Amino acid sequence: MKPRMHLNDDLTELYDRILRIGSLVEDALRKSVVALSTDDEELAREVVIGDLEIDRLRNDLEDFATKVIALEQPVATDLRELITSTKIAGELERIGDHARHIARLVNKLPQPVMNIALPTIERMSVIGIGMVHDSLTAFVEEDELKAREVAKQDDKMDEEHRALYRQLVDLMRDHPEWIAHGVDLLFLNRFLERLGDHVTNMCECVIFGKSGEHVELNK
Amino acid sequence: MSNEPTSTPIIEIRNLSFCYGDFQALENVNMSFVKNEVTALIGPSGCGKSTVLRTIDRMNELIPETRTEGEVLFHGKNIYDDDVDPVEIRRRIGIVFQKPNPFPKSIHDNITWGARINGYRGDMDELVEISLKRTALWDEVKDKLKQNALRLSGGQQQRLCIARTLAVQPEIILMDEPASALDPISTSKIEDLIYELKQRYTIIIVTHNMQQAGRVSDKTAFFMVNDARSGYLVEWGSTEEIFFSPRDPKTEAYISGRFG
Repeated sequence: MKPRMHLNDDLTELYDRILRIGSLVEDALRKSVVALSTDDEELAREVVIGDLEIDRLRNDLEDFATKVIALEQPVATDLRELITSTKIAGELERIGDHARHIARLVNKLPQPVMNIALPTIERMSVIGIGMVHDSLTAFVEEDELKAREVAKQDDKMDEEHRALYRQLVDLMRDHPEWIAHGVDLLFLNRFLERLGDHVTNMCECVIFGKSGEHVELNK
Repeated sequence: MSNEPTSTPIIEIRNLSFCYGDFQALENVNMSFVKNEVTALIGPSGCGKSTVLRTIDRMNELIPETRTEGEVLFHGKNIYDDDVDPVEIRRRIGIVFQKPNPFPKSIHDNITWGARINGYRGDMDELVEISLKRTALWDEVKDKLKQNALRLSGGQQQRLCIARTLAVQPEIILMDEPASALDPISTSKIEDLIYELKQRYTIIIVTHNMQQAGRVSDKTAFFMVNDARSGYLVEWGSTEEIFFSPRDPKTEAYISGRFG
């Protein structure tokens, strides 16, 4: 019998739970941007309702991790991985919130405004979904190098964010009648940019879980 | 392998090896203990942690055909030098064992016995009260000091043994699994006591209970033994570091219960 079989099973379950939340979050992001580009209110509603499930799973994961700490009294790497899991679940939950925020803008913006912003939003969402996915792979594989590479992608998100910000400022200057929509899009731009920051935090967690070192990626 | 101590050590072990006859139990241990700190010695059975403990107050030499090599410096003086009196060492470095072993005498006599043979000239009743108060036993036994100590519960007996050690005014208290024979409530009292006592004393405790080491100690030292080697020190450092991110994979495997 392998030592600490019960704790090993618990940690495996924790990983599965994280991946389940991660796949729901990736899905929510994808759907929210598709809904935005196709004005699909039904799909947007699915994202908003789905976020409740993400929140619930995150709370369940925290309860589960707390139970494992209480009953198994893990130390060292095991303990760091447990703490890391709850932190990563928290970051994923915030990304899920951003997907919900995006979904709430579906059918609220006039077409000419959307035409300006949509290409950047789609690019950012593709980068963002890729980052979420790869950071979770780094977590499961305990791959510090991969975590560092994923975090570097955040620079691309920041570039896109800055470019869209400038476009939106120009839009609002030239068309004061669209200021309210421009502000909505500034927020949306900000949500996507924050997504990159959340993934960066997840990558920092992966490194901490593996090494016990607190690192600041993408200062 | 080892951390440099942050302040002057009260005990410093240098190149310590120990043999029981042909059997080498300890191999080249180097470590030190700082005043008013609690150090936990952990490791699997047979790794030499209790041997280290007994070396510090020259208890091992009471066993025939043993050999000690290296030095144990107490305030910079090797306690194995010819001019050192082992009885004086054992007064200044007290020891408490796994199984409570009070003398089959009254509670009062248990405390005063060691003090009396060490020539203590102060007020014995006062000594009894102070010693019992320091081990949080006074309120429980103050009305039955003449009662035989063996009638106390296991946890009370162990606290009495600690009080008995304190009565001869040691600087260091060695504890060899002091709570392993006790129930959780008595264990918790002993742990609280260790926390209190470190204000005045330096404590070195051997324990098999990882959580206990985590709770009570400032420093932790991990010892190992395997077929190829005698008992040796793998790693020592702050307890926080050892239990949160140990440097050696063997330490990690042991403390997380994934040993072997």
